[in-house]
Order: sequence, then structure tokens, then C-alpha cells
Amino acid sequence: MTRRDRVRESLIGWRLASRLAVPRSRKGLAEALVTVLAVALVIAAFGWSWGLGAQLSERQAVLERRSPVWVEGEAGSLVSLDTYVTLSGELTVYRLGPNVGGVDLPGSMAWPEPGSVILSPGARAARSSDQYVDALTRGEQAGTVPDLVLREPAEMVAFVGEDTADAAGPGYRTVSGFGAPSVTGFVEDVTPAQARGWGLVLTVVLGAGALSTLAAAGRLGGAARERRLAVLDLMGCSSPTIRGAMMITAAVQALAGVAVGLAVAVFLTAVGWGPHLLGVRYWPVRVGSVLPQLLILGAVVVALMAVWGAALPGTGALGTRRRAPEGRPSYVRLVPLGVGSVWLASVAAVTVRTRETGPGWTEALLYLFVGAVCLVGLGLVWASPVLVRAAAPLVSRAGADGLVVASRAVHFVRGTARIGGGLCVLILSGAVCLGLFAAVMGPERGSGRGEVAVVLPGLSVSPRSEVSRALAAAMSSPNLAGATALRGSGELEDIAGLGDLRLGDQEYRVLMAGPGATEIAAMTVSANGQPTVAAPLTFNAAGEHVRLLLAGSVVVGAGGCVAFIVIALVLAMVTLQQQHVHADQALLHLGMSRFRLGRLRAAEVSVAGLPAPLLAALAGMAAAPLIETANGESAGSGPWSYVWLLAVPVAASLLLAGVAWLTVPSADRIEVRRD
Amino acid sequence: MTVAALELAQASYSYPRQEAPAVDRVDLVVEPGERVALVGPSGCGKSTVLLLAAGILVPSAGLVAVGGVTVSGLDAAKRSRHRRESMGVVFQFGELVAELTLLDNVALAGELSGIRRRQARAVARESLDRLGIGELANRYPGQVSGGQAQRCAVARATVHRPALLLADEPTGAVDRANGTVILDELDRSVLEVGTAMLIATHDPDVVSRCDRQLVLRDGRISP
Repeated sequence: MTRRDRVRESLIGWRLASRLAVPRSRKGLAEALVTVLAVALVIAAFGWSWGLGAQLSERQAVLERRSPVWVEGEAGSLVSLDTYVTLSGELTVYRLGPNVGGVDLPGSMAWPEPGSVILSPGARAARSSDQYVDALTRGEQAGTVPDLVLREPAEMVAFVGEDTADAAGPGYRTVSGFGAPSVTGFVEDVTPAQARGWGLVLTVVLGAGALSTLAAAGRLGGAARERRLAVLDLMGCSSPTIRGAMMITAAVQALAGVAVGLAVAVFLTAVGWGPHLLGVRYWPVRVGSVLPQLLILGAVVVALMAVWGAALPGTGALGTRRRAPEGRPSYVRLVPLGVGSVWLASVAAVTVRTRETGPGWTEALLYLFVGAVCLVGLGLVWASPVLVRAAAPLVSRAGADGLVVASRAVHFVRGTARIGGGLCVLILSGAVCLGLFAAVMGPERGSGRGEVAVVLPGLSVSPRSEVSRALAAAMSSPNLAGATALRGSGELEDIAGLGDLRLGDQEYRVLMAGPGATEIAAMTVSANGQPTVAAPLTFNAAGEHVRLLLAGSVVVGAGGCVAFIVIALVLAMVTLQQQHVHADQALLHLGMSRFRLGRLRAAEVSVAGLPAPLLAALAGMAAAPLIETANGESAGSGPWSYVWLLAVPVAASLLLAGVAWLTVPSADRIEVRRD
Repeated sequence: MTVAALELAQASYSYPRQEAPAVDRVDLVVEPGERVALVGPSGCGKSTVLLLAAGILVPSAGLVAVGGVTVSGLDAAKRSRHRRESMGVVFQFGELVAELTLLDNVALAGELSGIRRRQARAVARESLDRLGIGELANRYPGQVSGGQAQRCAVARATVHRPALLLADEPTGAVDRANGTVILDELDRSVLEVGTAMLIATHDPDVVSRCDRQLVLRDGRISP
């Protein structure tokens, strides 16, 4: 082939690709839309989650910007920093003694004179309606805290000017300036390391789900394109030309998906950003902060889809008609499953052993357990073709239909097995999602929001188990007459946590009661035991934001992963049906009724979808009692008490089988070849 | 008076979103044991007539009767049953089930028509042997040539000794040798079983083997 021929053929490929990228038929358009929407969904999901990360980073930057740089043993400006929980929300108060050494306030604010105060818009609004806020921010307003220094639009922050005498009191320390790095608190009690860790987990989990969706969409799109391009093969176009055309078509469709995804991500981050996230209204995300990462992700996705578009094997209808069944899958595929199973059993055995002599679970064992579960899950996915191949002969004996079911299941055994693999991952990730969510939001962790506060002077109790006893002792103290409403209430078990509160020059230890304590009369008691405020204080319990962030990560990460895998499963189902479309047509033309064909397709999906998840459920039944024993929760109730685990894969498989059954086309709806 | 193997009376059919009917008030009768060739230019509606006769499509007007049963009045399940029990259909490209071996493809048609499995397989093997592809019985459609696949399709259409054979360009995609084998088998079915045959074709050889021919133009039978 001369160079000129090659160039001409390349041009043909380009022209074909440009025609194929925008399909004319409704069906072609639907297939192209699948790719576009899958890519858009991935970009939007990452845009949203990365936007969340950017939001948290921005909060951290604000916090660092306004954090005092404390210096020990030096003369300078004296500053105290207190956080109060009020009826209007959290109030941060900086009390500033006279400025010594020309310290600059964050956001170019002027240092307040004694008796004056600089308030954020939120604090100014609350001062008129909340006596607490008013008492804590007294002074003539000398300015407004700029947005640059606020973590969220409604945040209540006050910079109060104090005279030298006041600044000599307890709690004041010398500062050299503002802008301390690495301050704890993306969101109050969430450390930057925690946030980064969760961000990484979220990206990996979401990424795995997204990858499966992209792969499924790529496979479906590739099959559709190949069907249209197969005729070029017959006409003599070279393989590189055809593959090039497929690659370009896939890339163009992916590019369209990236554009749609970016638009959705921008909307989500800039306009529709979750105002209720962690109960806080945030600043809109600056889209520019996530756009570069999203563009890079978009480029990677386009490249990925293009490569997949060109590399996919022939699965189109024309190919289907001329294709022999796939070869027997290698038994090597069973190795990861075997290794994972042995590993899992070993961890369980060791854990049971350590339980007998000590604590049961250790951190190392936990990591080993998680690793083993992941390996078993991936092993099941990889082993699915072998399992389907092994299950097929069992049904082939069941008459003509059984033979057809078995033959169809093993013909495209890898494609068929994706249903089972997908179900395995779906059930596994769903279980992890639910388990984590239950662990994070479960009743043993409290509901997350204290409704009542009781302030006790000088009481220091750290282990939570001691709180009830300490509180009971404090209640019986004669100088706490004002707190008698609590005595004998029977709600002392409902203590959610501890915290510090400072009112004026008084420091208090706060016991935070859980939701069950709402009926108790709320009391805030000063050091001398006299009630000062008789109103419930609303605040977040210690660790609340950590818990909510973790819950959010679980929902966004694992939930997103589950959603992506569901989409991938649907696409895998559609691809499978596409592969069998001509067989369906032939069977209908032979005189097979729609009902019978539907039953046959449902049976095929069951053969594809049941073996691996059933195996996983059986493994779960065997492992659960061991884990139970290791946890020390039970004497071991036996595998049969976990027989319900079998119901999940059976139900999921039945659902898919039902979909396959109901989507059988009628003979006259199947594309018929006319003159 | 014998009952016609196939009768179309004023049968019409229009494809969705197409104004002109693909088949327009067609009257057609095929008697048992009769071979009728349906000829005409491409796009004239030959395949649509066959699909109507097979009960795959339902006429928008008129009726279709096979063996005295008005199939156009039956529901889809009953049409399917009628098709698998009393008809055999051969398409231009075989339309075999790609996931089944040649033997299974043929035996399946027998089983669907009500023959017991073991007997269906025996008859299927016999048919394949007669068509010269017995040694390929355990291969898949993707592993044989187009001509061999088409021979298999003919075996599948005749294995249950249907009363009516419908063939759409059965030799259109095969060479002369394969075409001859295919036509011989179809003739055998007509002569031995008394099967009626309606065959859409452009092939003069096929037409010459038929008892009569009908010319279809723009969806209508020409006088």
C-alpha cells in the first residue's frame, strides 16, 4: 500500500467517524447517548465530590487565615479565642487586648479599640435576637468581618476590643500575628488528615464504580458501532481504518459527555451546592478550583473511551452471526478466589484464637480481614466465567429450553458472567455501604445533636462511661440546687459527650445530653450554683462533624459506587440482549412464543447471575459465625442463622431475570429484513 | 374440496411511518403439494408477504389463513404455535441460532413442533446427513460456511414435515452447488410430505422448478 493509499484510507476513516459520531437512527442515537450520559455522569459525580473537597479546603484556608500564631514568654498583643454554643448557633469570639507591635488582623481589618467590636453579618443579625450573643459581643460596632475571614456566609465571628486590664485575665495569650498553618478543623473537629484520607477513599471507591460504568458503556457503544462498521470490513477497509473510525467516534461521544458532565458539575458546585451539608450553608465553590482536575479527568476519560472503542472485540450483530462460542475460560481465574478464601479463613481462625486469649480483633487483623474480603470479591468477579461455564451443564439437561439457555449462557461466557460479577460487587458494596452507615449513624453513637445542656463547674470527666456517675455525684452536691430538675430523671444514660464553655470570665464543663433527654428542664448553672439561663442550648456534640463527614463519605462514595454498578449492570444486560438479538429473532421465527422466550431469557440471566453471588452468600454464611465469635458477641449461632444472606443474591437475580423476561420484543417488533 | 395450504385474501400491510403499503390487497392461494414462486423487483413486498404468511406480521386489512386456520385472527402465542407446528421458514441468510450447534438448531425445531427429544435429534441428524453436512453436526453456525449454514436452515425448516414451507431467497446467498442441494431438499419435502411451498426469489432456476409463479409489483399481485 502506497503512502497515498494510506492517506486516502485514513481520510475515509475520518469521514466515516464523523458520520457515525452523530447517528441518524433513533436506535443509534440511543446507543450514542448511553456513552455520552455515562461519561457525563462520571464527570458530574467527580465534580461534585471534588467540589466538596475544595469546599472543605477553603474552610481550612479560612481557619488558618484567622488562627492566631501564639508565642510563649514574649511581650506582645494579648488575645483570647473562645467558641460559644448559643441558641443562634456557634459563635467565635476573639478578644483582643491593645495592639502591641503592629499585629495585622486577617482580612485587613483594623484592630478594634477597647469597647468596640467587629462583627460578622451573622453575629450582627443574631445580636438583636439572642441575649447570649449580645452579652458575649458587647461594644460599639467598629466594622464588619470580611467574607475572606468567614467559613460560611452566616458564620458568627466577633473581634472584641478589650482594655489592658481585661486582657490580663485567664485565657489570654500573646500572639505575633494571624495565619497559623495546619490548624485542626476543616469542619470544626475534622482534621485535615482525616479529610484527606476520606477524600482518597471516596475517590477510589467512586472511581471503581465509575470505571465499571464506563467499561459497560464502552462495550455497548463499541458493539453498536462495530455492527455498523462490519460491512466496511467486507468492503475491504483495513483493520486500522475501521478501528480508527471506532476510536474517533468513541472519543467524540466521550467529549460530548465531558462537556455535559462539566456543565452539570459547574451547576452542582456553583449553584446547587448542598446548603444542608453538615447542617451548614457554605460559600459557593469557586468553580475554577475544581475545573483543572475535571478537565484532566475528562481528558483521561476521553482517551480511555477512545482506546476501548478501538480495542473492543467483535460483539456486534454481524459478528455475532459469524462467531463461534468463546473458548473455555482458564481455571487460573479461580486462583485469586482460592487465595482470598484461604486468607479469609486464616484471618477468621486467628481472630477466634486471639479472642480466646485477648481482645479478638486487632488493627492489623482488621486490615487483613478487609484485604481478604476485597480479594474474595474481586476473585468472585474474575472467576464468574468459570462458574457460569460450570453451572451451564446442570441446566442443559432440562429439555430443549434448558439446552438453549445453557448454550446462550456459555456462548458469550465472559459477557454473561459480567452479570454475576456485577451482582457480586453490587451486593458487596451495598452491604459495606449499609454496614458503614449503620455503624456511623447507629443508635449507639447517639443521634448527633444535643438538645439540652447542663453546665457544671469544675467537673472534669473524660471516659464516657464515667459521665453518668460523675453527673449523678454533681447533682447531689449541695451547691447545685438549681440543677435539681435533673436529679432522678432517669435520663442520665443519655449523655452524648463533653465540651467546654466559657461565659464571660467563667469556665464551665458542659455535659451534652442526647435526644432522649429533651424532656428534662434545661439549665445553665454558674459557678456558684445559681441558674443563669434557663433555656435549651443547641450545639453539635463532640465528634459530630467527624461522624457526619464519615457518613457523607459513605453515602457519596459507597452509594455512588452502588449507583454506578447498577448502571453498569443495566448496560451489561442491554449488551447481552443485543448480542442475542438475532438468536431471539431466529427463535421467534421458529415459532417460539414470546412467553417461552422470555422464560428462557430469564433463565439465562439466572444462570449468569446466580453462581458467583450464591457462592459469596455461602462464604458469608460460613464466615459470619466466626466473625461473631471473634467479636465476642455470641457463642456462635451457626451458619444456618445467616441463611437470609442467600435471599439477597436470589432476589437480585430474580429482579434481573424479570427485567430480561419483560423486555422480550415481539416477533414483528424485531427488525425484519425486507426485500 | 381440499383446504388451501395458504390463503391470503385482500391482505394489506403498511410498515410504521411509511405511507405506501408494503403489501396492498393481495389475493393468493397455495394448494397442498403446490410450489409457488413469488417474483418481483426488490422492494416490491415479497418478504412482507412471507412474513404475513408466517404470522410474524399481522395484516392491517384482509386475512391470512394457513391450512384453513385464519392465523391473522389469532393472538401472538397461537400464531407462534401454529408456525412451529405447521410451517417451516427459510431466510436468505439462514438465521440460525448462533449459540447452538447445527444439530441442536435442527433438533430444536423438531422439539418445538412436539417431537420427542431423542427422536428429534435422530431425525435432525438424518436431515443433516441427507444435506451433506452430517459431519459438521456439532459445529456452530459461526464455524461453517454460508452455504453449509443455509443447508442447515433448510434442514431446520423441513425436519418436522411442515404443511407449509416459506422460503425467502433460499439460494440468494449461496453458490450453484449449494443452491441445487437446497432446492432438491425442498422438492423432496414437497413430493414426499405433500408440503406446500411459497418461495420468494429472483433465481430463474428456482422459478423453473415451481408449478407456477406470481409477480408482485408495488405490493400488488400483477395479473
